[in-house]
Amino acid sequence: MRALQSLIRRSPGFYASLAALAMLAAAASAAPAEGGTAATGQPDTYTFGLALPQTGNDAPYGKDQTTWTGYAIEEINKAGGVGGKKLAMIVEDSQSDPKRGIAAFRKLTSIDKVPLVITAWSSVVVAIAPIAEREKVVELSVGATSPKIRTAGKFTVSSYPLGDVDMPFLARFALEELKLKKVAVIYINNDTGTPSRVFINAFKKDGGAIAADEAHEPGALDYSAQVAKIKATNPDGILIYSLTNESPRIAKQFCDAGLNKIPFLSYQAISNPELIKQAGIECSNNVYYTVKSPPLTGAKVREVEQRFRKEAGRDVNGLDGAAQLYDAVYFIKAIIEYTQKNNLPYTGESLKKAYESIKTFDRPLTGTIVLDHDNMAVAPITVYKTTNGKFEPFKTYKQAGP
Amino acid sequence: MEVLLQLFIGGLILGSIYSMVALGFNVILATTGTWHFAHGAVFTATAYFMYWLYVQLEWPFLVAALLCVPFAVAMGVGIELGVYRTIRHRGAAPVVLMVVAIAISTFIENVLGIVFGTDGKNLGSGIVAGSITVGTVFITYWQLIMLVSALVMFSGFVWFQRRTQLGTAMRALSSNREMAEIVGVDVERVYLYTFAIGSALAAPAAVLVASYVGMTTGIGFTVLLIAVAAVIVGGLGSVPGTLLGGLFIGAATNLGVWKIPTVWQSSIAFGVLLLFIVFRPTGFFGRKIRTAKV
Repeated sequence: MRALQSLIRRSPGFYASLAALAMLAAAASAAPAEGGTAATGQPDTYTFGLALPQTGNDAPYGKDQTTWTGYAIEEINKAGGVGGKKLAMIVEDSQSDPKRGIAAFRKLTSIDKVPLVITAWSSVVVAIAPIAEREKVVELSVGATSPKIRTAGKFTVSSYPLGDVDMPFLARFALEELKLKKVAVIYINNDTGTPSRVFINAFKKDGGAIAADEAHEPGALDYSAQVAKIKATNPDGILIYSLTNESPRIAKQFCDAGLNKIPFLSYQAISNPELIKQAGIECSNNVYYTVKSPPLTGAKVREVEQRFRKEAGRDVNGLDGAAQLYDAVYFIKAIIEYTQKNNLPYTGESLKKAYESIKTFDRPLTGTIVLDHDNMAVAPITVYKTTNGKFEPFKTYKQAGP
Repeated sequence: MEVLLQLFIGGLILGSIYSMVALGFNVILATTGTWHFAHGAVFTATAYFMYWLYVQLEWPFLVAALLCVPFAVAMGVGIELGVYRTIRHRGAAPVVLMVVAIAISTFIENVLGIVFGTDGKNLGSGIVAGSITVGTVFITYWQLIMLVSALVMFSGFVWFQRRTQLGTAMRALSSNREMAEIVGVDVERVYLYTFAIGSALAAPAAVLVASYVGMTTGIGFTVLLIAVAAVIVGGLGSVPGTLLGGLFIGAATNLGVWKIPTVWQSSIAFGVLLLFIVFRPTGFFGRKIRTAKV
């Protein structure tokens, strides 16, 4: 403090420097993320934010999804950009943790001044939603499934169907295709696990019975209590609704307990190479899970997959999630084009107006989605089955809706 | 009734993990008076060392597992010599050591994250597969190994403590440091050996947990929290108490959810701890908590 006082006393130019710094700071805070804002309110470069796990348990998925988002940006820019202007993204680490997610979102909106941020993981999306609403910044959810997101706020839009879209179809599939009468449920005790409630209601409504309904804490060391209680109810099948890193371990513990002949039901979180690696081929042969798009077998999907395999030297962690993130960039492209066409500035409010007006989005990898009255995507549902270590489409439901 | 038995067995196995981690922590606490919260980080680092040898370098499982013991010893001794001893000689209060231990723990976790990445790691499937069924109760071979390992480890340590000179010196320091010094116990040397032995005791648990559920950089702290509860429930300084405390907490968390949803498991574990602190602060066999040097 004394040194500072001394500096102020001794430097005649101190106040001038301070004023210059203040002016610079003011100018910087008013500037958009990249490039300058033209008089029309359209910047030279359209920059958006991305807050996905780059570290932590879910980083293998978050990092691959970030890579695929980059592929789409690169492709669009190579083809001339959006109305002749480049797309760019700023990546922040959410660690799939709500607190970190909020910090990442705040950094992206207050420092980088982006009008749109891509997020995923239910607990993160739900935590950010009120801030997005307050700051009038679009939160584009791509991968979260909690039905709570539906009412989280009007600035939260989901290009990925929520759990209340696919779970009724999984319940129907379990009853009609697999002829299951009594299903047990194990779910993670946070926002991610909430779609399991939708499954339970749908399954019961369609005539099935729930044998057991057990929760586990995030990051649990052991699931022996859940396994013991579920095994005692002698279910025909088990719904595992947990995170990408925990679902394979849960399946393994059921198989270890001798429940390796009954089907496991799940959603796309379980579709990763770790399932085969940890649970083994035999155990994973009875896994059926939903993917919220038509089968991912098109030529374009293969092309992007091949590029990733060539660059990373391995298969992508969670093809569905990565493809959804790739397509999210095309969603953003469509809403920016709307603002250009209608001479609107590149702001959260304009982008919100755009997706509320467009409603139907055609995307290169995961197909068409339609936004419902809550701005949540509705899409066909495909049930996949794991066979000998491969994830393969089994049945597609073309009519889907909450 | 069958479910109850299955829950009990599952709880004992879970409890055996807590007991194994708790044993090293309790031995160090009782002998040196250090709340060595970095013990969780030693556990985590050993699990990652196992991962490095077995998965990345593709060394045989048994060789890798055996090498984890000297690794854990080196970690514990390094922390004692490099940090605790230095600040103890400067007259630091035990509470300072506790804060330093938490700092070391965070430092090691972060270094592991930088070196290995912060995503979860596992040793893959098929190391020991299969299970046995006794009546209606199933137990996997891996779980059986955990339970047997815990029993062997505790028996071995009780023998060591009662039959060796070092074990006697450790017990003497645990009972009365001043008196032990008067009768010629080299305190600093015994402290060093205590950290070596206490850390070595973390190695089997680290290898077993790494093989069974995999690892993240924070797994040691998660396990240590319940292990500390096991120490308090079993009784500070008591070896049989530590085993009983771990098994009791494991069994209680599983049996407690027999008729209620499993979402209550964590609450039950710490509920048991609270009950003990309020109604039986000495735990099963130990000294009163208020006499601990914190």
